[in-house]
Amino acid sequence: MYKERRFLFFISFMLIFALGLLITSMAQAQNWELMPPYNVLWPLWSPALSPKSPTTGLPTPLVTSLTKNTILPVQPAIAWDPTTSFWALYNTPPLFGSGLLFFDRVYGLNPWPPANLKNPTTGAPIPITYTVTWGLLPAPSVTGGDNAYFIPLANATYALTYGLTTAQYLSLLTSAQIWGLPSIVP
Amino acid sequence: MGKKRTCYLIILFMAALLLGGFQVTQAQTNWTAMPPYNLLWPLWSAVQSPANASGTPTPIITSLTRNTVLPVQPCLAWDPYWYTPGVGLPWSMGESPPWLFYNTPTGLVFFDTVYGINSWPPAKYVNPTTGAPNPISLLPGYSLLATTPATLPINKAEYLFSLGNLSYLLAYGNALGVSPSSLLTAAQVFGLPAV
Repeated sequence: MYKERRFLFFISFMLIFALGLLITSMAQAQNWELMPPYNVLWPLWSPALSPKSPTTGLPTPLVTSLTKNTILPVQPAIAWDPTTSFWALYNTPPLFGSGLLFFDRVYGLNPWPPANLKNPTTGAPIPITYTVTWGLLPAPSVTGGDNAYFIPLANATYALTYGLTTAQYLSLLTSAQIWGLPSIVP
Repeated sequence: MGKKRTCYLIILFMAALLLGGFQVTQAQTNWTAMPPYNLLWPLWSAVQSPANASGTPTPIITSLTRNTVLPVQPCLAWDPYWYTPGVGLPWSMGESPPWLFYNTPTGLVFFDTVYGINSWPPAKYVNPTTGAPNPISLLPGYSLLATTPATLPINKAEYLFSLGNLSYLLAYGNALGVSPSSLLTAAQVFGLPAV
């Protein structure tokens, strides 16, 4: 009787331990975070956009929501609607008003959010719904497809649109910084 | 008489073979190693390597250091073995994207689409202790590598030049008063006929 109880306790302990491991590994494998109110995907794989929290050690997005009034602490940020597009996000410079901007390689630079994420009558958010495990979608390759050109093109478009100074332009994140690649220069 | 003719024919044949071989060699020499880092310099580009008096393509500079001043810009140069950790698949020989070089008052800068504009040279070409050049060990056959890296469908040359020139103008050129029209296009570097 006593042996059976010990065996059951051992099995329960092992099950809980395995479950814990599974949850931890799933959390570690998570590449994206849902960003309200439109449920676009925010890159947890980017150390510049999701630095590790000093308390939990887990990647934590720099912003808690992506509305037209969100101010990005660093730019560009990137966000993804896996059904349509990959965007680079910027702040409108104070001289030109305020508000979030998004760059897409087909439509160029426009005020956030895209029309398809907004109810045309009420203006209320239409959050993206996912049929897949969005968190586990793979992080894109920095040079895959046309990705190699995306950030430099977006940065140049933003800088030319708002007449950025040399210092302002050079402060924009490069693909290497967003993807967390080691520095190329000494 | 017959022997003489045969000898004559053999000599002619050998001369033709030599000449043909020489021409093939000349046609296939696409790159030359540029000191001190052994980066590949394009002999196939008429603006970067104009023909000298004897018709041989000759690089417009003799070395590519921090203090080199380029007579024309951008100049394209290539490390065929470059590997960037973390960029998905490692590039294999001949597949890495080329770099574009520009002048600034503080020295040469180089552009690539992932890292943007940075001061020349990259860390991996410099001995961290002595600061001495760490040249690329080129494998035999480097001079025969194709004129355009195999990854150009991904790293398309036309985008590389447009983005490199834009980035340079935004980072340095506008402040220095560089005229955008003075910057070479992909067509000029690749020697395409005028549009």
